[in-house]
Amino acid sequence: MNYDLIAVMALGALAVAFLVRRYWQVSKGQAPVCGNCDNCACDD
Amino acid sequence: MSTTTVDISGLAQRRLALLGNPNCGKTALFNRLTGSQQKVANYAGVTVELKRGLMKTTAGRSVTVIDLPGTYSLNASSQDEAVACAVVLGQSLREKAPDLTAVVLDATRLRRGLRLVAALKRQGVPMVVVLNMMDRVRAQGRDLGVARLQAAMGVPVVEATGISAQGGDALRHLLDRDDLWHQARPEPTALHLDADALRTDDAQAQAWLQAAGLDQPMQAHEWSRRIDGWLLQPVIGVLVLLVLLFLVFQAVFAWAKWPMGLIQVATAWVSEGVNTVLPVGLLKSLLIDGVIAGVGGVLVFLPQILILFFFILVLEESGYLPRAALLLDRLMGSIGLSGRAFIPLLSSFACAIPGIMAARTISDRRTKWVTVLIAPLMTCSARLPVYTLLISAFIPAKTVAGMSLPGLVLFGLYVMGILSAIAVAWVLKLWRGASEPVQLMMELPDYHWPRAKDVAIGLWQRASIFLRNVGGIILALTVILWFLSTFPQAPAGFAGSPIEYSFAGRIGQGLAGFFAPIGFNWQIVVALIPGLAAREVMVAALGTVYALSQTGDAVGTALAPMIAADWSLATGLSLLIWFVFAPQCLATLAVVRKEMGGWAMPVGMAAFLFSLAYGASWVTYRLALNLGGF
Amino acid sequence: MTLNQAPVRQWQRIAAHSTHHPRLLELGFMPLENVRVLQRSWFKNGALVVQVGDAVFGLRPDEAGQIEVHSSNEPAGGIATA
Repeated sequence: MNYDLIAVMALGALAVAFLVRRYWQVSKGQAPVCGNCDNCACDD
Repeated sequence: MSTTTVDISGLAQRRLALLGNPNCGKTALFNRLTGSQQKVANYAGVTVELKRGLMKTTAGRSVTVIDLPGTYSLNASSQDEAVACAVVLGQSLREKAPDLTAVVLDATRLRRGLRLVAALKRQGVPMVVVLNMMDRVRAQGRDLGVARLQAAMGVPVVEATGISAQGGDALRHLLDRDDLWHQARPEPTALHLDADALRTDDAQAQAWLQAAGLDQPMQAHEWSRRIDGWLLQPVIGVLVLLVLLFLVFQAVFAWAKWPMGLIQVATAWVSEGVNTVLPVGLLKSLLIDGVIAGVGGVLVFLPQILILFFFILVLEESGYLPRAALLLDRLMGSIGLSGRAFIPLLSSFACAIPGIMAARTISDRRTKWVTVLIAPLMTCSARLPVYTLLISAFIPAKTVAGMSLPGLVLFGLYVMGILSAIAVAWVLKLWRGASEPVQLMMELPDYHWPRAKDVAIGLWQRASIFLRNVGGIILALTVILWFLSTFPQAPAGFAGSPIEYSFAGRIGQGLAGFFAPIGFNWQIVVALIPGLAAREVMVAALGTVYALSQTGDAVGTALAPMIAADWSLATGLSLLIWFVFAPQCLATLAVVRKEMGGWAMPVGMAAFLFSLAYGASWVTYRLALNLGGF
Repeated sequence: MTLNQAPVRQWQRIAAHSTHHPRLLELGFMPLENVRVLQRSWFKNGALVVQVGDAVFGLRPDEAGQIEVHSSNEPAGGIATA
């Protein structure tokens, strides 16, 4: 088994999952687009 | 049957709104009550959004506190004031009416605040009065005789000091009084807000003051007057402003050297460690060429960002910014804006997003539109890593007339951003023709010493935002970019660097033709794409792309020398100029869409800035090539 | 005279009949209030720094030009200043 490839794919999947979740949250209005609420002290 | 009243009203969360004039310390009080660490200065020095928090009364009851934007009267003249008035009067669509309103007054400027109280009383809004900034009053050796004022007004009055630890205790205690929370809410009656109503309110305010024996003027503002005598003097004031700005940029380079060196050493050490531990292979490449080269490349700029923010925070906290706005009002007027646009524009130096939101304080729609359009031209802090990288790669670290050359160039880039903003605003002014003059009418609050604790908290927040972005979006994008730059893997015997065979390499080479006239090579093009998400990612992306371009074991090599060796000076300068104008990160565009309503503005802005960037880069590249044969 | 014509650092009193923008009223520029110019700009159209009662404002010449004043002899006394 190519453990190397598996490890790398796992990390890649995590990265993609993170971004997808972010995008999902933003489009539902649960997370700020700017990266952090403290940026503008917005009311999320 | 026993009549134990079950207090079901206590089950619904009680809601308190904080209303008051601008600069009366509402937000500091809000922070004190809710224990929240919301920055007092909010980048813009103004509250434009509702902020909600939770506080506990002395008896431990939980109350929702809503911090509202400051307003001088119930007659809203700008968007942020409209929000405050609508909420308090129960007319807001977004926010239910508060059960109780705490009108926060600057105790050193009572009469004006009491006019607002009088207006609210006419409308029948349930309220209590909070005399804030009592520390300043006591410093005068005065006492305000709260009891008499309370008797005169018929409304509960408490003292507060937003900036001291126990400063909100009197209010916490007051809010335990159940009767305050069961007052009838006002009927939506017609608001009487004309000049006559104002006179009535003023007469009422004066009557209260007289009844409470508070008609002696307060001399709490002498120091501010004296300092203003210098800082607002036409010549000295502008000189001070320019020198201040210049010093900031020198400091950003000079002070950052040592901590940046530390971070670089640490990054190289981690890289070396991974290199020794892991066998050669994909995982090793992902970690070293992807994560460490990418993320490490951005992390190293944390000291500079913090230094920049330190100065921004200190200037905000000290109260100097409105003075700068005043000095620049003439200049801003000539391009169709007013000094009021200065603070949103200055905030944009930190991040364009709060700057764009701060434009809500501008009452004139046209000025607001122009301000939002040019705010992104103000060099936001995310550009700083890119600028620094390019400057350290291409600008020699010499000293010119006692000033560091890199610092000078950085200053120059910021000036260019400002000049381009001015040019755009001026062109818009000419295009739209002369219109009614824009309002200034800007208050100059008292100066006060920036409090070290508040500055430290602000810096800490900024650092954590940065680190969270790095550990989040930047890391994720870097990993994905690594994938795109590694697969498909080049077959053995492939001439050229393996990355050229990958997806990213092919995309870059495909687009390179379009960008060739401005001197961008395909690596730059590849790095620009994730840079759309966040500017800093550009640096991480370059780090990854170049790390993967290394054939051999060059581990932990810093990025700057690599690009210095690979690019011509003309390319470096061209990319530098590109970033002065380049279109916004997607987050900014999204905020512009939300603030201005509709896609027309953000899309137009992006297209406009893209063309501007391309044109400026082209000019720079051609000039650099021809002038120096670089 | 109007406020933008007033000499620097001399207290003036806002005329009772002065009709200026309601916003100025809200900021504190009420009839019979004490007011004075603290700083003038060197530019013809530059902003003025004006003190009304306890508060200090930056006003444009055209904004200050709406406010009718006449000179008074005593500084802020009597009723607590705005």
